[in-house]
Amino acid sequence: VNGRRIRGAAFALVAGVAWASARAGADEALAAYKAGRYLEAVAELQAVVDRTPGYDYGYFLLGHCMLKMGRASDAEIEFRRALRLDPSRPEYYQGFALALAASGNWPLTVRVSTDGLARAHDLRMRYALLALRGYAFAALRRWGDAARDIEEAQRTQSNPWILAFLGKVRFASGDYESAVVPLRQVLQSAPDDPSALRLLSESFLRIAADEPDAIRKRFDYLQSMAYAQRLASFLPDDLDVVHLVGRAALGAGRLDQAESVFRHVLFLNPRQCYAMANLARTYMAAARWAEAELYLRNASACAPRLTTVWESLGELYLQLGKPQEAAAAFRRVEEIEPTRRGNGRPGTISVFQPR
Amino acid sequence: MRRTRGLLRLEEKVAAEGRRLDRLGGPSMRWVGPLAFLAACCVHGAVLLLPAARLPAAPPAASPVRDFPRVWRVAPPELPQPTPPAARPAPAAREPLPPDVRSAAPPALTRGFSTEPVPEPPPDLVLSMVSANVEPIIPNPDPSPAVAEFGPPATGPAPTAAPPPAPGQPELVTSVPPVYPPAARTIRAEGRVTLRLSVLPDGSVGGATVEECTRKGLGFEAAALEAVKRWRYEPSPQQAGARKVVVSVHFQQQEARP
Repeated sequence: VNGRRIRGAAFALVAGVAWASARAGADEALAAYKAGRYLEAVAELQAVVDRTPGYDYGYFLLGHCMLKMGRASDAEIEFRRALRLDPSRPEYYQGFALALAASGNWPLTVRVSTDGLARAHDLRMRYALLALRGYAFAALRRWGDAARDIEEAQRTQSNPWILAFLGKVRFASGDYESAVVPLRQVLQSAPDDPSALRLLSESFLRIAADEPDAIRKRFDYLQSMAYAQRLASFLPDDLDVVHLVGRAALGAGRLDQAESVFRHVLFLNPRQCYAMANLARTYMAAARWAEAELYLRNASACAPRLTTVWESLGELYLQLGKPQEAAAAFRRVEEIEPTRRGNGRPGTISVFQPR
Repeated sequence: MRRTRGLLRLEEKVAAEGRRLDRLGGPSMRWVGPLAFLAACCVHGAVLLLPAARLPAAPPAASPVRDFPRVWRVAPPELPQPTPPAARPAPAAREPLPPDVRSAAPPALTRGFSTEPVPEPPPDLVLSMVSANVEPIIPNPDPSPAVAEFGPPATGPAPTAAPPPAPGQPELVTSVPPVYPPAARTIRAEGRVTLRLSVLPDGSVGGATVEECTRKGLGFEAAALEAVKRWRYEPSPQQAGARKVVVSVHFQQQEARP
């Protein structure tokens, strides 16, 4: 019995020494990691886990060092080891989820983040895991799930990145009116944020298109135009941005501005089919039928499967009193999109008095 | 004509009779004449209109247009009804228009074609890398709690050598020495832990925070926190709230000293 006790005490002593030594090594490795000396930290940690294979924290820190060095698959291995030794610590799940996100394994990122969230009670940890899971959902194009996670993360901690992310997710899910709110908050801290300005302008374009009230529709187009103009003021060479200004101007009834913008876009990129169609619609709004017909014909050759072009062409021919040509254009719409049978005929749409 | 003349004669007769009654002192017959005339008109009018009212509805005259009767019976097309407000998704979410927008808006025209911009596919969303925006959470190797909240003070052993109170600080009356952490003892490590205590009016320690530890990862913080929760200071019932006290706990290997 005495011998067994002595052996037990000796074993405990050795284990205690090893554990203390491992902790001391981890301290030094952590200091090196924080100073950005990842190689040094890895060397220290490797020695630690070689001496003390049951030291989970060593693998965890090793995983983070691997992540910093861009070795995501090695990081995954280390985080898996840490979690096998201690599956209760949410920071291990967060590290593992970061490694999985870095290697683009989104389904597993969702699963690991969910496991971590089940164990995380600290707000900072919950924010990190929710942001990770929301990002993974977004990468999987599960916009509703992504929006839910990002909204909860944003309630925990609001910063420009999470607000911009929330705006993008809501925009992608088609909830344009809700997307506007966080995107505007982004602009409060970063007034020239290009992605926020772009998405705000695009959101208001879509809100305006669905708006039945003519005055509010015009107001929405004007807001879209304001954001697009601000974006174009420091991205004047981005043709998509310039074209965005023209689209908003056309919707707002600023036909002169729309015409000059579309002409500018077509001068720089003569194959921009949408600019052709939009320029034609600008001419239709101004009752300049011949120019409208020319650009619609060009657009139909440029994008032969764009139904809106054929619809506009049909509407134009009706205005010009050419029912045969109009019927042919509407038939083309039905050929391209059989589900739109009957919708290709002109409806009554309110437009604005050109200035 | 003959009938009108008859009516006039009747009126003259009625008037003459009225005058006669007036002369006799009877009731006044001044209104009888006009009323009788009015009643006669009503009776004649009713007689004239009665045949017309009893006539059956005349069939529609034959239209020069062959389909006219059929078209005539078709119900008129219903006008498009405005969308009810409830059908709009979350209308309350829309911000109200500025007051001058409606008044300044130009009148809307209605045309048979659309002059709104052509719908385009949404732009590609660029999500900035999550790893660049979600910081890794890495705790210290020693996960001992940095802050400890204690319950009611336990009766500890007799006080050992209590550190002298700093000027302005309450006097320590019961000091329990900390247990030397086994790992630190094994490797003969030494350290010092600085703690900020929250001393309650009854002299017990209500809470403690680790301010500094010269040697982390060996359990010095936990051992110091465990010890100070049994400390007792001189009570100060007249003082409202807790008193803040900063203490330093040294872990030294006595046998290592020369």
